[in-house]
Amino acid sequence: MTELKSMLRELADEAKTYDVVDRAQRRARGRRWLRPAAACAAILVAAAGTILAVKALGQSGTAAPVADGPLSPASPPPFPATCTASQLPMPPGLPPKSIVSGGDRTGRYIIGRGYPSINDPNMPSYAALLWDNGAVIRLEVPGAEVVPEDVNSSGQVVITSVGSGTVGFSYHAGVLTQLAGDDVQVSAINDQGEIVGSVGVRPASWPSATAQPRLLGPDTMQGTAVGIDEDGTIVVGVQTPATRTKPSALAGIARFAPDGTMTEVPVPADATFSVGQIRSYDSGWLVGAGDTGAPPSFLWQLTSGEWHTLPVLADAVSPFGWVPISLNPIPTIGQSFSPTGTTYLLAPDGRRVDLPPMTGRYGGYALLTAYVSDDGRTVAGQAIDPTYESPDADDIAVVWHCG
Amino acid sequence: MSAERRAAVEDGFREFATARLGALSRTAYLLTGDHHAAEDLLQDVLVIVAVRWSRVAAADNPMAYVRRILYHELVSSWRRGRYRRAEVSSDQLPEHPDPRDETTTVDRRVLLRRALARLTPRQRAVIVLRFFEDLSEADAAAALGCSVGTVKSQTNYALKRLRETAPELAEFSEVTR
Repeated sequence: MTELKSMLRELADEAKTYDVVDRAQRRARGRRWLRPAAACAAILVAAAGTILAVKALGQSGTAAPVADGPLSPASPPPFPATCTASQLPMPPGLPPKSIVSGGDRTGRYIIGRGYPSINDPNMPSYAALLWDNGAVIRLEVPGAEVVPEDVNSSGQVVITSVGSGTVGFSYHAGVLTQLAGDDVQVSAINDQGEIVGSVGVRPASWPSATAQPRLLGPDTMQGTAVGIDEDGTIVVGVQTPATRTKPSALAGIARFAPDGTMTEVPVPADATFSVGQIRSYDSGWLVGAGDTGAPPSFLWQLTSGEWHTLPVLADAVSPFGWVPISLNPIPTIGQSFSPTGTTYLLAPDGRRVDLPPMTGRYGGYALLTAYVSDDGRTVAGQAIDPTYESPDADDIAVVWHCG
Repeated sequence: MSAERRAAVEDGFREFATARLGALSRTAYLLTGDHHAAEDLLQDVLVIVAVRWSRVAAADNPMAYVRRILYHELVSSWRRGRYRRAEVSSDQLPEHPDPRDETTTVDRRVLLRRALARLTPRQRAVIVLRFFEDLSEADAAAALGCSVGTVKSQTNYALKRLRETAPELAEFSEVTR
């Protein structure tokens, strides 16, 4: 005991004094009056139109194509004109607190997590959730920290679970399958059931949930496979031993064609962004930011070289480059909290449609988006209590249906 | 609230937070293992404390109240990946090791940091509460909002994992209280 105490103190000596009092106080001033009664909300909405007139897309460019590969589907569906928000249901026995972490191509399936009450003396594990056309299913997955990462159009969910080790699971139609490999983290699954992620420090793919992992790239390559297209093209965020000290910091991007051929993908020559982390990938479109999320955030089409800077880091992208944007979900001083106009679906050509706030009990909550379906008709995320006054309901899983 | 009253409240918060900034920084660093993540965590916690300052100040033990917010924020916000930067083990030595340190001390820090990174946020919180903050099981349970029995079981599980992931640190095997 004495030794452990001593070692913890030695480690704590590395800490700096994080002088955040001023910043915390400024943010608190902006938040005290945020919990709006319904009448206040209307005033805030009106104010936001002028205060938060944010440029939808920043700088853009189109370099020469940098890699061969599948282009985005040629004919995007009509861009949505309106959206409405509704709360996703919870299973019996769980409080409302819940988040969305992804969904399938069609909008039928959405995945996320539920949380036991903070007053539950047993501190049970988080609950992995699957919504099928709005009906919720609780997935029984072992582990203390269970993170549903992706789901395909057949309802097959891939999950990373941290318990006595880091383990990958596939859940499909009631069958839970542990993926082969030690220290597995999963990232994505396509509609063919091919799964990608990492095994230890190596990027990896699994042709199916029962297959052995295939390590990607040369033996020296470290990183994580972050996405897989329907034709089997895989994108890897490459790391080095140096960049792994900050797990979000990348050394580069690599693409693996369906035949296994690897291509390094350089950042476009005219780009004004750097690639430090990847937050989402789909059909050639990559969303990311600088190291540890430093701005500018970007939207980048790997095959065509088209790129745009984004006003904020996004967590999802469609095959047409449509990105759900959540500006200022937790406002700071000088920024007015107003759900309307601050959360929207954005297309690369600048079109946008508002994702409106919840109404009723959660009407004063800020919004955060995490998923968009291929056709943009379904967007999902969570509403967040900016006051933290409701620990069992400070996140509420939300779906927007658009048309 | 009048401007005068608001200013008094803000002064009270500032005095409280500034006096405890060093201690809270050390705890936040142990909980996250990363300077940026610790700074983010501490700032988020202090925002909540500032918003609720009237209630915090009126509590019998304001620091216990703050501690509960800190640990709740760590565990609940881990879901957003906000403080997870250091949850993957590091193969590197500290960025700026103290030149006065002996190599063995630096090595122990690296091993401990790596082992802590393999714990879940709740396991990590239990270790820091019990063995760094030196809280009793009852106080640790209050901070985490759980039962004493849960603290016991989580502590045992966390120590077991530390032994498994850092067998080089034989000292863990002596931790049996």
